[in-house]
Amino acid sequence: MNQRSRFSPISTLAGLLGATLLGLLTVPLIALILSASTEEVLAGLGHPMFLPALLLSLKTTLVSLGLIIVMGTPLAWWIASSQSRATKMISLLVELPIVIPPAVLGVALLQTFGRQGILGPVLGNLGLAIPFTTEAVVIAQIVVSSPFFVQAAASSFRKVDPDTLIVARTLGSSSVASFFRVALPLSMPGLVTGASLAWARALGEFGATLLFAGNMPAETQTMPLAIFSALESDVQLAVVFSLVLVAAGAALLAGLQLLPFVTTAIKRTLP
Amino acid sequence: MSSWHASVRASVGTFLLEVALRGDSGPIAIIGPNGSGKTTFLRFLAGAIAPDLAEFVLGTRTLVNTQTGIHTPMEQRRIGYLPQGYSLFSHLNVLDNVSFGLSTGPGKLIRSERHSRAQDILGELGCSALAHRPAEGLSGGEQQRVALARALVIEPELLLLDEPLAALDATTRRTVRIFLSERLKMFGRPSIIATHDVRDVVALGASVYALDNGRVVQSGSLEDLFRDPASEFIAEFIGPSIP
Repeated sequence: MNQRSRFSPISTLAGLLGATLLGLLTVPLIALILSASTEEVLAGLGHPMFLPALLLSLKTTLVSLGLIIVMGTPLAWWIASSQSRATKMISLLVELPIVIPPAVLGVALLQTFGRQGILGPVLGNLGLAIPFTTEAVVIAQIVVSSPFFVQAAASSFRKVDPDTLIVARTLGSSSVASFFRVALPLSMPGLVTGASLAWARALGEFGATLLFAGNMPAETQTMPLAIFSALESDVQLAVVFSLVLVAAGAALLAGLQLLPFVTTAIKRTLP
Repeated sequence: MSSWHASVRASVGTFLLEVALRGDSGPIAIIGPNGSGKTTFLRFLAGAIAPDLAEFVLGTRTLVNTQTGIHTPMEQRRIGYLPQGYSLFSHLNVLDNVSFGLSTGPGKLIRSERHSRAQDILGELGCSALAHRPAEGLSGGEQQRVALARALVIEPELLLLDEPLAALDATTRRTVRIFLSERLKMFGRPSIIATHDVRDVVALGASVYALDNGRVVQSGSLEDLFRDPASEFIAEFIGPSIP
């Protein structure tokens, strides 16, 4: 009976569908890895476009991630703990950039910070010009990637047992201290996951950055934009740059998988 | 002898709690069906629920008086709280859980001193061996003792216990019930225990308040309630005879 059900038409079809998707997810990556020889990789890494783009990507994503954590953590805590009716609406607003195409966000950012944008005159009076600058890259990254952090952090904060915080308060801890000493450590795995996803999204950001910040080497040309530029002249160079981002993503994923083991090991070593 | 009294009207969503209770240094048991307001009342006393109208006096201190605008923050009430499931800080070990209350506020102690005090109370409660174990992975009975140690270490003026035995299996429950009743007698200060089990009331020798739908439906000794139960729940709670 078990043998028959294992090979039923439905399970076979389900298996084929799943295998097709798995193929779509993995074959392009394998193709990418196979398309560059070691010599080509080394040559690509030595290309004048590579280092500035990599450093700009690292610099801007770290700054945007820092700002996302600083601004997103209190927002996530508020979303997770507030009982007000506005919470649901604000939660939806935070998630909106996930479903809006990045190019649209780029246009929206121009309409906000551009010379003709709603904040344009104010910024102009202050002598600030944001579009097509490194700051614009950071803003674009914050807008597209912060929802991933806020969502994960809010979900993690919701799992903190309210009684745990009540106990902390009855033990003499202020609400702020209880947040830092109890809620934050208990939610840390979710926050780390959210921060990693946000960083990965920021690292891969292309559409909003291209429209809002442009593609100027050493100033706004991040790795995805360098891939875009390389593709126009040298496909192999684009392949090498892409492999670097694949390696960064893979390292991040591996780090997230190892995180629980590392945390447990650290706990064991503590006195 | 310390005494307390609390009267409260508080809305939590659509639920309305409107009760007045009082007690002396002995234990008080609050009984009632699920959703009757037992936990809400304990949380009000702990300071986690903002009432519409309330007065709460503990000993000589008025902790809440909505008419005069007094609302003592939770961290200044000196009330020990053991919630259902104990809510140990799972990211800390037992020693840090127990010493948590000594690491807060203006009177916080240095690490060595608070660990020493925590060790002492763990010793008193017979669980010194647990000190360096992570809070995660303790058995129900062990968690209960650690949570009690954590609440007692701040020398609270009132101890709140929300169904402290509910999470335990039958065998552990018997042992822990005896342990708890002895400890509460030694505590010598007011304690309020929400329970679903008449044997807890008997073991603690507690006076009883029966709640239903956010109101007190009967109060008195267990014998009083047994003689003339005000509701079917109370009659079923006590059973055919007092255990």
